[in-house]
Amino acid sequence: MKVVLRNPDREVDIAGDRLVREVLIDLAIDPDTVLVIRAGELLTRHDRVGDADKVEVRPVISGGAV
Amino acid sequence: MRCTRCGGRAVVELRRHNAAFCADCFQGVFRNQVARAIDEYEMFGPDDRILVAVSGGKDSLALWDVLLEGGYRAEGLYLGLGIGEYSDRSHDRTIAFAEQRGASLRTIDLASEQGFDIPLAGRKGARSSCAVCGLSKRYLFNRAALEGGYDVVATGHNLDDEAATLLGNTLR
Repeated sequence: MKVVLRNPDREVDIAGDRLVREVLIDLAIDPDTVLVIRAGELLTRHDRVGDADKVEVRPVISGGAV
Repeated sequence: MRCTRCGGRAVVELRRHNAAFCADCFQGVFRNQVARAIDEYEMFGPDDRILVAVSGGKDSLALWDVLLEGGYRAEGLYLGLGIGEYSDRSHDRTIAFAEQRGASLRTIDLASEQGFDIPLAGRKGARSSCAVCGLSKRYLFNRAALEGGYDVVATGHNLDDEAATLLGNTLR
């Protein structure tokens, strides 16, 4: 599956057919700091992603104010 | 994972509350929390004119959205900071947001109205660009509110930013 990461923008290939939680562990990403989006829909840690999926992992903590 | 309220498919998990919500229920929970906080702290009422400082980012646009949906007299103020493509993009998003909701938006362009933008001010001053930006914005929000006869200035923040600011100030 493909994972789109931000800051900086990049795309990585990683094994799919498993839980979002497991993908985030592989990427060393704290699930509380990101939104995981597939085809415009949010996924939780317990959703399953497939090998053919493309998901975006979007950080939600920008460090900015206002 | 199922929605704690309606049992539908959850899209947002709030681990600190041991809860998860579908999109509709999350919107409801979020809006109720805001409404309760406004009442509890007697922040403002339906007749007050609110100037919402909007950057085009998620925090400020979410705040503006929830105030408009709540029936408040919330008008937007966007500051053109002159930070290259970032400023252009965020301005476009803010304009589109206001147009979608039929909301009033005022823009202050720092370069044309104040004679400087944030990159220039950051190079000239002794403080960091972030400090110059934060202080300049706060001053301009307050001045715009006073001159425009607003009762309230509203700024949107998330808890992570609040915590980082508190920690930074405590350790200074």
